[in-house]
Amino acid sequence: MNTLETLLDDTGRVDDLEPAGLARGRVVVHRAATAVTPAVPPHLARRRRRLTLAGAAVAVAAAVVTVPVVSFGGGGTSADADAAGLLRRAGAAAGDQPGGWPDAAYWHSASSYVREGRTFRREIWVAHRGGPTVLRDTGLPDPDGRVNGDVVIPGGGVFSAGGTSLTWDQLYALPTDPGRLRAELASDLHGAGPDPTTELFVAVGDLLRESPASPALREALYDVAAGIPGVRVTGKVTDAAGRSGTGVTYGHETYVIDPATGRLLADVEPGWRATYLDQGPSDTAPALPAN
Amino acid sequence: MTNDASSDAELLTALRQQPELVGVLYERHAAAVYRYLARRCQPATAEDLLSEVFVAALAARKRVVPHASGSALPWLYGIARNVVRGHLRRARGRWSSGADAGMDWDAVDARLDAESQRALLRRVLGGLSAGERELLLLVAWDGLTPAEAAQALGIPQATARSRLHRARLRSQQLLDAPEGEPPPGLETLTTLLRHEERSV
Repeated sequence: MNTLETLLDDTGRVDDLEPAGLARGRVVVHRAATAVTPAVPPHLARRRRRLTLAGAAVAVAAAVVTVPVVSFGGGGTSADADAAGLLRRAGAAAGDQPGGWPDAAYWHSASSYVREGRTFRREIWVAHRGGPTVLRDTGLPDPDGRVNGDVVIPGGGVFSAGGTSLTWDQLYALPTDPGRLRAELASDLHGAGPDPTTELFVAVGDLLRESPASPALREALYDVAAGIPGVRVTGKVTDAAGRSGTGVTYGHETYVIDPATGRLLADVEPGWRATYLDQGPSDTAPALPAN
Repeated sequence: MTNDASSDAELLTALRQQPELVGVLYERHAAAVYRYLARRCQPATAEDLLSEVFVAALAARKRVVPHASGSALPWLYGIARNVVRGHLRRARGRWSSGADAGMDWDAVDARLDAESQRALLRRVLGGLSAGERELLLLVAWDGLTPAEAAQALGIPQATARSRLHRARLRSQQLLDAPEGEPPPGLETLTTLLRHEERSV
């Protein structure tokens, strides 16, 4: 007699996928994750990290806010006066820094981040032309069980900007006039993020955090942020590296900025706190794992 | 933290900020997701759709809510279900049928050796609604618990439990009915259900 369970057991048996098939899928998925390949539908390929979500109050409280600075308002056509002033000061300071790296081989960024109460360290060497982009992230479980190993990101070499990503050369082609930059970034949002303004704020943070943006572009990015209605100063903050900065918040995302240097020191959002330790040009990336 | 120690739930939470973690999700679950696809599509199609599921997961990662069981599979199967439906809709064009939206019967037939087994499966599953069939197969073929299957299908757990109960009962009746005889009517079914409810 046939039982239902027997019939379903028998008919549900399928062969496993060959390793070569698994490998082909793996390449497509990795490419999509790094958002570079035209083989991936553009709306997916362009989708990148760090769109903000709910619950900000908890996360902001998790940062070490030592001296709250209260400000009011949030409507109008720009950040509130305190925030706009702070962001413009930070922008001017960033613009005064030496640099400009249109021809460097790699952009190296080091940060630490806290996720679910645990701290991890992240370093990435983004390749400019041809070389492999290498990620070293202690919070990245390795498929083979190796932890803390370097991971090569196939087709890496791009920088996140909210829902989109830019190559090194595209980054250097961005206008440094704040109005034109804002228009350029806004035209590239493609509906990503909870709303266009939030996404613009996220894109500004992405390009400040881990990219070879020139001093002039950094100044323009801060000016774009200063023009976002609703951005407000949330307080003096000491980051995880013991550095002092000022929190500037829009929606659920807070950037901790040092207005004296124009450096983005840290950011905080629900379930996530990152501290940006260092970034700069590099001639080399770590040697790759044997396989 | 080791790979084993990092649960799916942690992984899904982290995926929101770190899209590269989709690679870990792939290493962990690609084989199971492939089997889900291969049970419902031709093997070559299943292979094509496999990466599509994970790319879609990447796009949907901001909305993920890990299941209480901790497994990412209910979420991934829910995405896979939509990917299969999308594929079949494209492939079938205007001949697309609502009842068969998530199943390529030709592929299922091609997989089964015996003609008699094909006929039985058709008879059993063909007598279920699409919703009942999807639920029954997620549990029987893909090994989800009823609660996990509920999440994959986006239906309340209580609905899933009663629907599964009904689906099993009806399938067994269809299986037991002599070939060519009409399946039991609604009245019979209702009587049986009442009987089962009392006995639970």
